[in-house]
Amino acid sequence: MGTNVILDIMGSIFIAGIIMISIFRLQNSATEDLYRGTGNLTAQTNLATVVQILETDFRRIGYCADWEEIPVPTEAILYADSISIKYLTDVDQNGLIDTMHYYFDPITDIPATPNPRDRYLYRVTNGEAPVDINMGVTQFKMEFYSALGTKLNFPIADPREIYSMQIDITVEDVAAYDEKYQTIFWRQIRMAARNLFNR
Amino acid sequence: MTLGAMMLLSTIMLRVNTANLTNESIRDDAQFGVLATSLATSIIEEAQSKAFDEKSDTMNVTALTQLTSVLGPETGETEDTFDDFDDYNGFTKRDSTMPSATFDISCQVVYVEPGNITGSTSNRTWNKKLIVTITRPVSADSSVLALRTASIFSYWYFR
Repeated sequence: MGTNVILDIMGSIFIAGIIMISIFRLQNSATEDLYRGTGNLTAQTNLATVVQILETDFRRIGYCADWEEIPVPTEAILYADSISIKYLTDVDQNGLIDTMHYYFDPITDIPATPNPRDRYLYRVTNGEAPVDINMGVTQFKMEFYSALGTKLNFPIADPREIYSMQIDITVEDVAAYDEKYQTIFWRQIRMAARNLFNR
Repeated sequence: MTLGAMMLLSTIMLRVNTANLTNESIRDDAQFGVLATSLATSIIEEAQSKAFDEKSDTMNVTALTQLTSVLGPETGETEDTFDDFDDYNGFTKRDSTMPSATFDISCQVVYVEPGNITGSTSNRTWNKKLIVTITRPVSADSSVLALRTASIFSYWYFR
């Protein structure tokens, strides 16, 4: 076997190696892209779901089908801080007052998901067992404002001052390729409820 | 032959990378769209918390002729002192507080007829439409549309 043949074989092996590595990288890149796209879509869907739940519930702060049950709607918010809110409402529109409590646990990781940052957002109705919302929420923060637009500092001594609120939510996909999680952010400055205008 | 194969592979890789970058760009646009939606919703929420009209802010209005004919903020009014829905006509604002992007907000308020809510009318009606346009500046003198949405606010009174 001549030197040229050996060089040809070595060259071919070298080039084949480069091609193999390139193909593997290409496949890796395509897979990652697919996962990122799916993860992004999942995170967006989850965010939309969380926002929809909050929108529906927060819009009913101080609402009761029998208005005489909550004659002073501004007194509907019982407690509020940056990660929790407790208020009076009428969840099933039966004319009976319900107590709704939302709170976010910023400490405890959700063990069932690979994402180390996602946390449970809890929804508690009438002191029953908390319903945990596992939608990849990694941040849930609220700020409250008075009727004059002044930001209320925590702790809020008198929740009757609350007129509007700002909600910041960050959602990530619960599992991701190579731990590259897709992040979706939502910030809404919204009126807590129409009923809070009655003052 | 080997060179040909490598060229073919290079072409394929370039096409895949282009596709990946396009996907990335679409994903970014989708995320900017979410942020823009939250901004637009906030503006609409704020606007709908105000009175329907300057005249209905402090008193009851029972005739269309009582409504404001020129939509927009009254003299001296700023965003903090807006007191009615149509004060947002011509309102513009740049929001740099969002992560990853800056957004420009511009608003337009028009009267609309109940039978044609997609259009506008110069007549005074009981319905006003707020059109919120969110754009994202991409260079010093150009921007791309992130979202355009609208919401109608109506005035109700008991007869």
